[in-house]
Amino acid sequence: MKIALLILYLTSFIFYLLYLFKQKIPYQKYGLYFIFIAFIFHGYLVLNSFFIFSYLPVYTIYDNLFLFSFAISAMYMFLRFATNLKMLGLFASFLNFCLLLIILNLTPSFNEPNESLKNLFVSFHVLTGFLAYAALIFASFISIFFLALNKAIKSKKQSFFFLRLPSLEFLDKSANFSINVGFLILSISLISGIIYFKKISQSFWTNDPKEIASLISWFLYATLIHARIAFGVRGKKAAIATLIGLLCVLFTFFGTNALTGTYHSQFTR
Amino acid sequence: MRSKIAIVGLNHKTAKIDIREKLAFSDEEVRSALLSLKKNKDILELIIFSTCNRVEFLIVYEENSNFTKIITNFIQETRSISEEEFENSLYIHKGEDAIRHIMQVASSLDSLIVGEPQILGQIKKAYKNAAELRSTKIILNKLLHKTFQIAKEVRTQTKIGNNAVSISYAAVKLAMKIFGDLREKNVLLIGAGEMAELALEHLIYHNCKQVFISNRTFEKSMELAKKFKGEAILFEEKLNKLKEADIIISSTASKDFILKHEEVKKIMPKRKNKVLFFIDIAVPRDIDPLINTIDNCYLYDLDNLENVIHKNLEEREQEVVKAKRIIDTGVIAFQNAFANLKIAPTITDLKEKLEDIIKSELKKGVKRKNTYKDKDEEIELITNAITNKIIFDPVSFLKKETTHHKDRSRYINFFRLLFNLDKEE
Repeated sequence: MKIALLILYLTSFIFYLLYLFKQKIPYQKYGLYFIFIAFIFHGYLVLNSFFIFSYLPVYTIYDNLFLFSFAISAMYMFLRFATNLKMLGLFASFLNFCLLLIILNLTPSFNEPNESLKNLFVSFHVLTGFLAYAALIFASFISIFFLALNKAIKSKKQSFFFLRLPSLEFLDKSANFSINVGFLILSISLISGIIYFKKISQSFWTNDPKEIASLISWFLYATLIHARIAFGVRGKKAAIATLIGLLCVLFTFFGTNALTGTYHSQFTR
Repeated sequence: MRSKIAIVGLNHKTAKIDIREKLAFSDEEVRSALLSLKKNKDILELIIFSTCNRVEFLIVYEENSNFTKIITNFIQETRSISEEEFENSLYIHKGEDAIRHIMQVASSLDSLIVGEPQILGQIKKAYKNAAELRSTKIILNKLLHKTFQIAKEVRTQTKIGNNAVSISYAAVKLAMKIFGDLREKNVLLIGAGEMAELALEHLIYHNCKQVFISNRTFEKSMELAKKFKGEAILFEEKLNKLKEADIIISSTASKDFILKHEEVKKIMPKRKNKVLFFIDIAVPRDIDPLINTIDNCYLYDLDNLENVIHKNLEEREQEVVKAKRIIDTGVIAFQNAFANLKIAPTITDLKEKLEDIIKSELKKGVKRKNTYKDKDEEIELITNAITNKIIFDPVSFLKKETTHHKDRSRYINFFRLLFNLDKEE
């Protein structure tokens, strides 16, 4: 099943790559069709396991990555139609191809979770968290596009990217949109996590590294959004800040997992 | 009686704007012109193209008729212009040249901005006008359909319209690369000059929101503001206007920079760092090159723009060659179809003649029904009569022609070929 999914993402990636070099619309369309089919199929697999367990299995690194890669597909579909930024498919398909390659090389282990975690609330907390990460990762990709195009225009070179990317303002707005979406969902995820934790342990906070890192990311993006509205921080500065935010997100997701013995790390072994 | 294709007209390459203006037809005028020219028996089919860059009459005319005179007389009568004024601007293409010309026009090879996409729509509209008034028939219908097909092929198979090849258009293309949509953008023109005004025209064409005009002399600002439906501002106000403007075109005769790095840097927070695009067409330069280093500020001077179009020009040359090749295939395909159009009436006539012969001989046969011995004799005699009738004209032609000409063998050979008398194995 997962090999079929891997092939779908790979096919989509190849079409997007062809589109990047040849700039022919049909390639872009086929790329989109394939990633869309992959998204539906991926969604079916996720839903299937949901119906078996009546919660999302997110208690091993194997399941986590599988759900995360679904969140990337889902967020890509949303951003693709909300912003109409076609090039994003290149990253989405490549990222999921890589993730599935990793998943296929991991041995699935079953980690029997604590009874208190087997419920919808936790599923919701994890899924929204992953969707937020996906949106913020896409915002960073768009920011990389922005920096490449900005450099080309400033240095007056009609480079490879100059000829292939949409306008600067469009990229800036799309990145901003993705950040806003990511920030909103991240907030929902954090709040749901805090409320749930309060319910089961009578306290809001465990000083878990993942919690701290999430909060730092949240403040970083909050500052960026505020600076944009209040002082008009945009363009290159905003793009660089978005990339710094990405480092924080990546640390939240992967870095904290490396630290063992913490609360969240029990799910990522 | 033979019909031929020709195109009579003038365009931006042969005629200045004042002549083109005088000749231009409005939509309504095109329709009445079609109706009145259609009445002329020498003009068999007709389409009129009238855009700001060209006025052309595509016609099918009776061979040996003086169609040029008919058209020039018509222009003189209906437009307030004398023949002397426009006769030198006029071009006449006949036959293959006319076919190639219309295909080049529709493919935007003949346009002021080669590759611009509007022309095909304008030609389609002109054809629709003509078709509605029934001034086009089989030949122009076929020609125009082929033309549309070829123009589409040129558009999809070449990159002819992709790149800007004039300074002013390159500047606008850059503005679009920066802003995408220009509809919410304001433009500030500082100074004046042909290139700067052309760039402004392009921006207005792309629906930019508002135009501010600033000049050393306020009168000049007023004059330009009237021309471009913009707002005249004082020269001293220009820096303040940077809060509202998004695109600045500068073209003054100033020896020093009129916009300095520090000044622009201070303005940026006031406009919430929204992007500013400076186009400096002046020599010596008007705008401090250091401005390009400020975040969200982009500056292109004349040299930069020239570098952009230089590369585009080279690329376009190659695309034009490709486009011409596609058009050549179109011209040949249409000429073949056109030759078939000429054959068709002959085939119909021949068929009719043969049918007439058969009918009349059968009639005669029926009258003499009782004189035949049996059915076989009846069939034999009737088919004999039909055969004789059919070959009567060709045979008498052969006899007559071969007595007049020394070279009999030519006709005889032709005749043997026509009826396939020397059957090959």
